[in-house]
Amino acid sequence: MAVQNENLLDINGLKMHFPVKSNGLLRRTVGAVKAVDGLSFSVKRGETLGLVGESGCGKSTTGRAILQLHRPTAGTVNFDGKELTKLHGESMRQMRRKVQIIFQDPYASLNPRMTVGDIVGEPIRVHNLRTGKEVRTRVEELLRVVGLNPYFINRYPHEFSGGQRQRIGIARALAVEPDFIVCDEPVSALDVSIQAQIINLLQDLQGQFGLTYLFIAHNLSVVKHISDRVAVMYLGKMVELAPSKQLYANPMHPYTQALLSAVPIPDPEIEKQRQRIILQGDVPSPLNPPSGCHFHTRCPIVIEKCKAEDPPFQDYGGGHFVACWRATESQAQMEKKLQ
Amino acid sequence: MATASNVAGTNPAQAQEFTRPVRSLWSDAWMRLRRNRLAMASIIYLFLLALVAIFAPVIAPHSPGRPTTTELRERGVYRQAAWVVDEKNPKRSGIWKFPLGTDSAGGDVLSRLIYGTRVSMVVGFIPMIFTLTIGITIGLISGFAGGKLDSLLMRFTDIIFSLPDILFFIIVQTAFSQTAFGKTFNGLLLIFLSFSAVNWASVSRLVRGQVLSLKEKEFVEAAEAVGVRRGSILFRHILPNTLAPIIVAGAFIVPSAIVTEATLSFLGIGIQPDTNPNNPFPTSWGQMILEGKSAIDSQPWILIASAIAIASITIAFVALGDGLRDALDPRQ
Repeated sequence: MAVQNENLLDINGLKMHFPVKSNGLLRRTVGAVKAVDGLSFSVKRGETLGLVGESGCGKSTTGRAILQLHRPTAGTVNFDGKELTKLHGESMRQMRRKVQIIFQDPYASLNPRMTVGDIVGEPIRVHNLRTGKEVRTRVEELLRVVGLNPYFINRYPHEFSGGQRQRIGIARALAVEPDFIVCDEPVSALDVSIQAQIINLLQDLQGQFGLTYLFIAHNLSVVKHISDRVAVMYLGKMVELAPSKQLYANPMHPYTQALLSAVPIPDPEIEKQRQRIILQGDVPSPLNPPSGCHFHTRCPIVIEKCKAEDPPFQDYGGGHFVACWRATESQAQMEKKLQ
Repeated sequence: MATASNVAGTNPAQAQEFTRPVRSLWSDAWMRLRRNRLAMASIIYLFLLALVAIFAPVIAPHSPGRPTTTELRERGVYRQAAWVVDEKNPKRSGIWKFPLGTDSAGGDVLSRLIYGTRVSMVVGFIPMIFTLTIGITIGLISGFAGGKLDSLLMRFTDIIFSLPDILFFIIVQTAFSQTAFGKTFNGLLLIFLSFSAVNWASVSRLVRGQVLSLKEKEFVEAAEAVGVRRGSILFRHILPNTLAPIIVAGAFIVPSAIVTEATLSFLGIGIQPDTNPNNPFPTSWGQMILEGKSAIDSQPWILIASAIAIASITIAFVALGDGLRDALDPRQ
């Protein structure tokens, strides 16, 4: 994959806070769920950026905030020179041609009352990309591209399997000929055998149409397979961002180390011998995140500084960003802990 | 690349799969409904009643209105049903020309019963349309707009919902039944409007709830992400998915409206009886129960026949509603 050194997407200080209202008539705002709390990263044209983290860490919210499906509370989302957070109404609608999303649940993401032809044809119609009979021709072409028989055009979503439905969702996203697609856990609802097919399809399409992906997932092996760079999120913040190989070979944040140690290895001998980093406790509530580094409540190598000061998201060389006060010594320290 | 082998169904074994007819959720529902015998029997019965209502002038053996003097001589008043022989008063003995006898004004009871079908049909369907229209509109706006407008509309709905309906109808009827407006279509218009004015509240709550849950569905988010305008999202994505419960609600509004009309007519404040033979809605079943009540000792079948008519049409609509609910939402 030819990765150019040009950023398609620049995100700076992205925050997505959901207000919590009190019950009763006044509905005063009593707090906010800080789903995404200050993210800054960029996505290069043509690359796949993997975004991982456990449930509720704000991965999906990040994807939706980039697409302006949730309007961000703060921060900027610069896409191809345009500031998305400032776009409204018609200009935003036009912009949607360039950025698309593929959803996690192929059963919820297709309107059960519409035929495949209507679902995939809708984006073409709303943007007037084709007219009259050409819409149908284009839909058939798209179905072929995602590996579905064009004969299915008059069928309804409930007549398909999960994998086929996900292909329909992909065809819909491709219909507007986008540059950038947020893949929001596109395979986590599918059977393992189907997961590989969809991943391969996504990679084929990337090569074919020069797409850029933000690939959100919680399956580390899938992310490793598809991503050029991987970002790790914890409680609304990014803790580590590095080229894929670098991250898996040399994780610098204790949370990333713990995550990677939890990945099962398909070899019982190795599995028996290896030591896992087991994190204690639960993820704190995003309503009231901990002071300083959000991870300090569960970090095995926490020091006093972590509780007081938020570590900067800093480049430790070669585009390896880490937000940890002990980034350089973390691996040695973790090993000491395990022994 | 999506290669040819990747395309499902290129081998001949799957060719048959492609000739299978397309099945929308609606056609699935229709298939399930057809398997429900009670619902199908209800549909047939209601269809027959609809024919009776439309072709009442052809089917009814006599004019439902006030008889002419010569007719009256033949009919007699308070004539017994055909199978009853009145020993004391042979003039009142039943004859088959008037199977259910005649009433106090010499009207043929069977003909009036047949014409009464019209009122029940209209009084069932038209308020249903009014009620659904108001309820859907308010529910859609409330659920889709959210925020302050939603709160405002829902509080208003709560107020309407808490009105005691029968009391409301009685007040409306006593206030307006003597005005020109109240006399339109024998007072049917007033019944339609007052019924719809209080019954939309449950529909709008239902629709709002549906819209609120559908708004969070990923396919709505997908439509938004693709750049579909808000109006199209509402009418192409949200509304069609609320239709199934709306249809079920509609099927239950019909019998409730029929019973309401019968109740009001029985109380003497419903539709106003008309002896003009050209009036398409001369009487209703509820009113015939009222008439039958005073003649219960001498002519009990007037009350019995009209009560059976009301009961059977109500049961048929409820059975149809149940069938529709099972057919449209098999998960419940």
